[in-house]
Amino acid sequence: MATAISTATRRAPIGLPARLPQWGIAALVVGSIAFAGTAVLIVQSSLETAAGYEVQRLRNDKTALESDNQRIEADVATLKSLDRIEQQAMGSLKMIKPSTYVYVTVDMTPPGYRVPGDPQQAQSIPAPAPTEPWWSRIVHGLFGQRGEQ
Amino acid sequence: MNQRERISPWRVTVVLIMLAGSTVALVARIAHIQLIEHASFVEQADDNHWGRQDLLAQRGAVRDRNGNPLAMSVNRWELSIDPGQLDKPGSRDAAIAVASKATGMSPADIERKLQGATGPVVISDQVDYAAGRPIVEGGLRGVTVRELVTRTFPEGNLAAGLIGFIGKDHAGLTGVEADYDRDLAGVSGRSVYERDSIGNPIPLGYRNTVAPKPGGDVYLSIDRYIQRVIEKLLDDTIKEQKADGGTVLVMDPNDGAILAQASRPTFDLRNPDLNDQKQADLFRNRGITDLYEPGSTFKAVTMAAALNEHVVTPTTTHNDSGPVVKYGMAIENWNFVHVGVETMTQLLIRSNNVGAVWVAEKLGPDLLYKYIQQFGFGQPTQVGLSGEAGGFFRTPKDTTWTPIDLATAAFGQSVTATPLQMITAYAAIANGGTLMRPYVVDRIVTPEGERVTQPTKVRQVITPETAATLRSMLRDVDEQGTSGKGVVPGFALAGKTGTASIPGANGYDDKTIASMIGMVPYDNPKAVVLVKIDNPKNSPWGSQVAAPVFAAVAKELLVYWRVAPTEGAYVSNVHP
Repeated sequence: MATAISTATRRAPIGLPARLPQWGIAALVVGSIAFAGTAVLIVQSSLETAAGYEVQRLRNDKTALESDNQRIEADVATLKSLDRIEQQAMGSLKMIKPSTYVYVTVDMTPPGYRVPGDPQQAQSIPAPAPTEPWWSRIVHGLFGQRGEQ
Repeated sequence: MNQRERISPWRVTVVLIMLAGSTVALVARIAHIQLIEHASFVEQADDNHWGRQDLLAQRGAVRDRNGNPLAMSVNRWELSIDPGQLDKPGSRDAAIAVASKATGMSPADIERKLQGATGPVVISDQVDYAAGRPIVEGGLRGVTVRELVTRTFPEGNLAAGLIGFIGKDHAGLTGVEADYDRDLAGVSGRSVYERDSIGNPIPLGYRNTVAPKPGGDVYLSIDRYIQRVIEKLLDDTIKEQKADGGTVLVMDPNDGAILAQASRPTFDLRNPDLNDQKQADLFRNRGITDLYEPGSTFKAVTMAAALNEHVVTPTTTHNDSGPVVKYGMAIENWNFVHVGVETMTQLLIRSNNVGAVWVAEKLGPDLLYKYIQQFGFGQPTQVGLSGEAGGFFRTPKDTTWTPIDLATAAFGQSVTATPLQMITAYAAIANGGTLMRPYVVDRIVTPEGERVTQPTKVRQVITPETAATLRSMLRDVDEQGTSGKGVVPGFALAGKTGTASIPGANGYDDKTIASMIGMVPYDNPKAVVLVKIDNPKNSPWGSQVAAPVFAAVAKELLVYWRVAPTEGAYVSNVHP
């Protein structure tokens, strides 16, 4: 008698039938699959919606950035305009306009100028001495003068 | 008597008729909606459900030859407030606050604009893109923004007449903006999308977008530095001379590129008013549309023809003993002085009209007009801009032609030309005798590729030897015939001045056009410069008015291009 009571207590500890019928198990499996599928669809749809909004936002951002790009290019062009450069140079930097160059033709030969085909004048004007770099002088000092080429 | 018996039959009949009538009416209405107005309602439903948006193509920029933008597009917003929709308490203040923040205008100014308005009022069409974006995203009732593409001009009003402007529909209306609209405008796109009940796009809804194709950039042959130089000089001269207007052109004679082009009076590129008839007169590009009698600058053409036909040489002499009388009309020199025997070079230096007539008569009408035509007069240069005039001159084939026409054509009267035609003819003398087709568009860069303008030789008008001889003569003219005002010390230039009376309805009056066309430098010229000042008041003469401008432009060009002065020149650096 005591054993029978104990067995009955073990068989239904949580109120479920001791053995589910087969149709019940099948329904449970189908229900679980349906629930999981629905959950996946909902999550997927939710993610897609979020992605859609993200795409929309990125599109707007792209348009805004393109517009910013144009505006910045226009600003750069305005800042590089000749009027502004002159204004900044003369106003902020206190620069003055370049000196006025006056070219006056005079009746004399400029230094170093050689009249083509006039060897006499070429001789009368000493040619400037060729300058040799310092490192070349050291090399020549160490290893001797190189020959004429 | 029971209840059933108390209801009279006619009442039941009336009710039944009413019910039947209503049913028929409802069925008729449903039929009307479903069958007759079906298309209309489908269209309304589509309009509510489908959003459509035109996507403006980015309009290309107009740049100078070095790529510096002269006109470019920036996206902005047009912000409007509809007071009719601001019926809730506080909504008007909220709308004004939003508009004030976006536009930078004071709330009082915005309130003033809205006074008495019942429909939408445009508050500003210059709202910065970043400032307007939150309004689009936030969506405040009664405040609407519309995307606009506006033109901005980084160099200000530089080359206004050449660049032109666009209309509200973003189509070019004048200048390069109109003539190259197809290249600049691009192709608009379109977006069709599903939208929700309040008009916002459904994120995962259907969307079909045809992206807009941006327009190409038009690179002009203009150099912004040279352009700025000539505009400042032109403005200063017009102010100093109290002149009606003027034109300055700078051309590279070797390829026909227009390096700078300015005309006055002009208009404000940033604020053209199409409703103002006075402004309409300012929109044209005077360098290519306005005809004038070139006067003595045309003597170079006459002399080129005579030299090329070996009719004269620079040392050929003629005897200027007095005015030439043709058909009872006396042709006089500009200063009424007759110097007797003089060479052809002296003829040009003194700008002798009687001598020019003598040369023209030695040539004969057939040859002179042949050369006038070959130098490009009487026909547009085909520079690639609309509205270009071709000019006019009579030949013996015209019934109205008389020998006086030949005589006066020799010194630039009875011939009309545009400034562009004149500078193109001088460019032929400068480059060795080849007439080049002038151009202002150097290249067009589109997403598909680049189209570069190739310099075009129209024809060989005179031999290189003739051109060199004439340049040498014109160098003497510049040094001796401009009272020293057309020279740049240290450099050899060449050129010819002109003072042409302006013909009116009753013949020539006292008004003149003072002009000079010259080459910089004389030997192997890098530029030809035309200066034309309309009706100067202080002095009528080209040598007094136009020559100093020519010299100033030449000096700037020589420094800008770092052209070395003539050998043997001494350089003095003078600080102002």
